[in-house]
Amino acid sequence: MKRIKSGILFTFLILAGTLQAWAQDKAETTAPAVTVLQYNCISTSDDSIQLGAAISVKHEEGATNLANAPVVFYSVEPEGDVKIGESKTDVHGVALLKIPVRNTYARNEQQMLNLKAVYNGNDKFEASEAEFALKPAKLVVSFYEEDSMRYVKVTGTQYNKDGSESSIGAMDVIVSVPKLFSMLKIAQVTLDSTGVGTAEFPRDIIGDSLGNLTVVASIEENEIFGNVKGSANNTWGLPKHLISPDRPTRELWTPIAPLWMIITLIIMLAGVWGHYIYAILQLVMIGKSAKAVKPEEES
Amino acid sequence: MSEAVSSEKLLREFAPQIERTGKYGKLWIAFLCLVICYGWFALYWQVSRGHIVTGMRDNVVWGVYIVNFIFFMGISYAGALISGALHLFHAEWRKPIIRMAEFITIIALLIGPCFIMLCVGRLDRLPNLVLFGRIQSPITWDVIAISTDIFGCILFLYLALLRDLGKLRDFAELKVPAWRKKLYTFLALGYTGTQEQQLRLKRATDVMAAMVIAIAIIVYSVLAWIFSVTLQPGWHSTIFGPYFVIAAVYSGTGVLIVAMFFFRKVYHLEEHITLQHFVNVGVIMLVLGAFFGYFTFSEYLTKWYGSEKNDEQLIQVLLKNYFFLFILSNYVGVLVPLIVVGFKKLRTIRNITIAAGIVIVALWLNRYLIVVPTLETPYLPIQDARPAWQHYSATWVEWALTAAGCAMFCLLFTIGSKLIPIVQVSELKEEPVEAGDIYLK
Repeated sequence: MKRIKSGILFTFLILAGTLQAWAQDKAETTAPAVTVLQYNCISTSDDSIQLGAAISVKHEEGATNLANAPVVFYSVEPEGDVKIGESKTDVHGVALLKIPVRNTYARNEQQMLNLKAVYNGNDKFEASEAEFALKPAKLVVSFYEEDSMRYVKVTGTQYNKDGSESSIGAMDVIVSVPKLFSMLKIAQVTLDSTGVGTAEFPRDIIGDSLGNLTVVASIEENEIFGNVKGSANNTWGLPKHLISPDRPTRELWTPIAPLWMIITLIIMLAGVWGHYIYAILQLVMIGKSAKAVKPEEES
Repeated sequence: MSEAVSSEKLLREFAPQIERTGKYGKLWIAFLCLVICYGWFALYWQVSRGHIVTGMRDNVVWGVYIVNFIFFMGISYAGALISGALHLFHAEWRKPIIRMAEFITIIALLIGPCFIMLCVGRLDRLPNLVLFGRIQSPITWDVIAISTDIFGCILFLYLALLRDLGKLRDFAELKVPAWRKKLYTFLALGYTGTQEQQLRLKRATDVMAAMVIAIAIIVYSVLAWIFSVTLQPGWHSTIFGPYFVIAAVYSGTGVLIVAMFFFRKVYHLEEHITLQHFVNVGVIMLVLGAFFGYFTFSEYLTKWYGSEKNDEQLIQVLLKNYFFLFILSNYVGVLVPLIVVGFKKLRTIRNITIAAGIVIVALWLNRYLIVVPTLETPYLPIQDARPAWQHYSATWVEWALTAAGCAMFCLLFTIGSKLIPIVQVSELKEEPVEAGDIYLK
């Protein structure tokens, strides 16, 4: 008994000590957390520039996105920063703002816009900012067929300071289609000096159930133009195969199981539950025989 | 001496165990209730705040709850296999311990699936498993199998209890509340031991003993297939079915030995549960340990030798981050029981019980090493994986619920031993079995 008593006490002490050791305490931070602002600008084919600022908070375990943080966008000009607009970060920590390509913001000698995004911080999070320079440009995607071959044509233009448009010049452009998690590159177009390039369009790209495809042409991280994107739709995709409800097939991945699987399951369950029923019947007969014996004894 | 007289003598001996609970028994029950209450608090914490309070994240989606589920299901199958097999082999020495094996089966079967519920984030969608279940899914197989197994094991336990229930009903000297007398009367089904009743009971018990063995093997294989039919390195193995069955019975014999030790001490069953019983179950544990060691060696040897990239990565994680646990589980957990039971001089009740305790811990760790490190080395790289989420660490919530599950197991066992004698009173010979050598007679 003594041993049992001391055993119970020992176990309780171990449990209490372990719980104490595993109790999670929240560490209180007094200094504001370090934030990182990543600034990205994309010229889109609707004659606008999308400004995107992503803020993340650095901590021991890595970095997490900062939501609902106000970001102010500026144009950096010789006389001082001119405020473009303000936006708050979403749940993914990204603040977006669109400005028209034809704007009055000052440009530098290379005719590039100098843009800045600023997060002013607060008691909990440090301030951070980043700059991005680009010359507005546009990519126009079109399609044509020739000699039963399909082609994608990309035309690149740049917006000059005086508002005119001119050819973007020789450049490599990636042509891709959006898939479930990322973009699938389908071709690479080299623009000539007039800013025009073509490439053969592959015939084995799967679209939606009707064969619709969205094709995106993009220039990424160019020294002058930054990021440029243009897109267009066509019906050159292969229709996505759908399971016809009229003719269901029995596969591992279809709604109807393979026949051998169903038969095996039925045989096994029938065998097992058949034995259970036999055992239960024996119990019922035991009960009945007891009742039969009892009236005989009473008589 | 006739069976009736010996059973009465045994009932008189075990009556105090059923009639009252001593001071220490009440303290023990109070302690278990305290741990269970702590578990309830942890459950409330988890339900109100979500699974973020656990260590499970996008990378490692299964943790301690699944390990506990596999562990408890494993020991339940062991109880079923041992009681069924010993019944079919007509091993006379089984009778003092068979009740414990049957209790282990039922109680573990009731506790194990609860851990699955803790792991499921949306319990309100649980009925979908039944309403929209797909026959092709191993999860559906598992639901069907476990439900069938629970029913079968309860039926088998009831058949085994029937004679004793009749004895308890008829034992006039038993001082228990009227509701318990009525319960015994109701459950005894009017069994009086007539020739016809004995024949029917024997037929039913023989059939269920065989079925329970088959069901236990099938059900635990299905549980293994949930892992092995995936392509995950570390899980995708053709020998997972038999490997899990062997590991399950191995861990179950450990739990049975520990249960024998404690009940022998607490209820003073030295006359009925002797060294020979510990040695006999220990031999079963030794044989299973040898098989377990063989399967484990075969599993890791083929992985290591094949040098397939993902397998290599997994083995590196095991040896680098989990080295101590790996050694404890696969070396200590195999060698210690082999040595203790294999050498006659080391074969004492205490040593065998300590070895059994090591087996229990080692097999729990074995399941942990199957689940967690494998998920930490995914087959396909996970997009935007946060570094903080790549390594799993259980939180206090998970440990509290684990402790509560173990406490509930002990509590149900204790309550069961208070309702029914922990040693079978019918057909039990009065004379104690003397300790012998390792060879079974």
